[in-house]
Amino acid sequence: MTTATSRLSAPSATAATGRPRRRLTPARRWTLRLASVAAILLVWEIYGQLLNPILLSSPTAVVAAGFDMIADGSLPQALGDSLVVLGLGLTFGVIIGVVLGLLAGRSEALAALLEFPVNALYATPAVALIPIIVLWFGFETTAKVVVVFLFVVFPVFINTMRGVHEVDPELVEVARTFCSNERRMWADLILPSALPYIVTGIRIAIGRALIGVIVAEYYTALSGLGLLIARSANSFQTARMFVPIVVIALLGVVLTALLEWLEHRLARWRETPS
Amino acid sequence: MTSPHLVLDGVSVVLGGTLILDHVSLAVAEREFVCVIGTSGGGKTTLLRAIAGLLPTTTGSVSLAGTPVLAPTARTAMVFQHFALFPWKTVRANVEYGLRVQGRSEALGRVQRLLDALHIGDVADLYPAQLSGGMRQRVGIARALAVEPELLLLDEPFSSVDAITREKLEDEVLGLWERHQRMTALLVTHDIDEAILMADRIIVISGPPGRITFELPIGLPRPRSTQEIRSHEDYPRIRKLLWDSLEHRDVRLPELT
Repeated sequence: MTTATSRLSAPSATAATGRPRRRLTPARRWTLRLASVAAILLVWEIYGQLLNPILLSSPTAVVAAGFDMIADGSLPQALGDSLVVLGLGLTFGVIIGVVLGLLAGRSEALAALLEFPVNALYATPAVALIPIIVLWFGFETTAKVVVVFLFVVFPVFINTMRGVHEVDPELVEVARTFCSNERRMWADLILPSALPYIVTGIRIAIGRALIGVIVAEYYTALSGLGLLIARSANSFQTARMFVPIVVIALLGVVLTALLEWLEHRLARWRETPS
Repeated sequence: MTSPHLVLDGVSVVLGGTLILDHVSLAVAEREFVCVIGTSGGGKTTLLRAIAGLLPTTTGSVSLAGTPVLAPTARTAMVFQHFALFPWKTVRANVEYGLRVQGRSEALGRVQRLLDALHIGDVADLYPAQLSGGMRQRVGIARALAVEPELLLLDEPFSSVDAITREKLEDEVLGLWERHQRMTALLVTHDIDEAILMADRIIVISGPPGRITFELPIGLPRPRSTQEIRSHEDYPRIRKLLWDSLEHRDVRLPELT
């Protein structure tokens, strides 16, 4: 009965909330995506040309500076240094965040144990912890990786734990009536349910990891892209300063796209209309 | 007469301090089809969950083929009201689920026959989200039948599908049960017509707290179909008896409170 009534009332509900949402075609969506980028670049170019190049510079100048920095080797070198820190911090943070999140999601005792420390550390700006990190881990790669790790691990942990909690209790009953063991329960039920939450956690983590890299490079021994930004800014080479910033932004876009691609591969069942 | 297959002996269930089931005793013979009817909130589903071993009984015991049921067993399978399919598994993987969890991959050969019998062979590679409610419940039924349970529990399996699909599904499931896999079955419903169509015996549960208030054997000949059953001369009489038994409780309720 409920099915019949909800089906009957469906059209009027759309009418009440206004026009139905029209889905964009892929071509249109890409046009809009690129249009926003083009608009920003255009405004920047025009405004940048009007101002003193030290204040804003312009996209064409930044691109030229980018080629210079590739040619003189400073950009590849810095990017390589930063990617090592980013890669290690992000990997450790995601792995430990996911594993702890899954375990804490299944064990109330572990969740209770971790609750206060995690909330406290999550709320503490990681920047504030840098002096102590430096004391323990020095100024070099290890310390930087630890900073990125701290930026990454909490959102992944919290989202993963949430995902495990969101498992449909009815499906848990199905697993129980068919006498599923705990190991199968993970494969059939818990991991697939938690996957969207884990992905959300990682998506947030990517953004925070990029912040973490630059923060680490500023506040420990200056290095990588952070060093390039600081050095170019100190010598008023604004165009060169923007190059690593653009590179970081591109990294964010690429990593997020990679994650989305991976999610689509893992969760093909969700792309079908319901 | 052989000893009954499923026995409930004075089963009471208390949930959150509330008495949901009050000393329910019931014996079901092997291959008997029992329908439990009653109004919503009367404890029907709780009864089914207790039999499935999903819920501990507060007092009394449930036993299946002489063995006490204290936790879910592989000999019982359940069809859920809201289908409860795995959204990330294809139709085929959902149907295979029980066999795989129970480590009985050698029996996977029967899955295709079941898919065909329930007319979901063509959609075997689709995901539940791509199916209508009726099709989804076919998958839910196939999943339960795939493990060839001794005891099949059905929790209002047709209440979430539209009326036309519902009638078709009732006939098909009944046909499958009558012709192929006659296992002991317990179906919970609030639909009197559905109960008469399917059951060898109908149990009326009134509550809360749920008690068995009426019991009626249905001797109508098998195989049955919706059309034949409804035009049977005994049908109106059976229907009225059951209505009155349900009504009776409603009349009595004010005196109780």
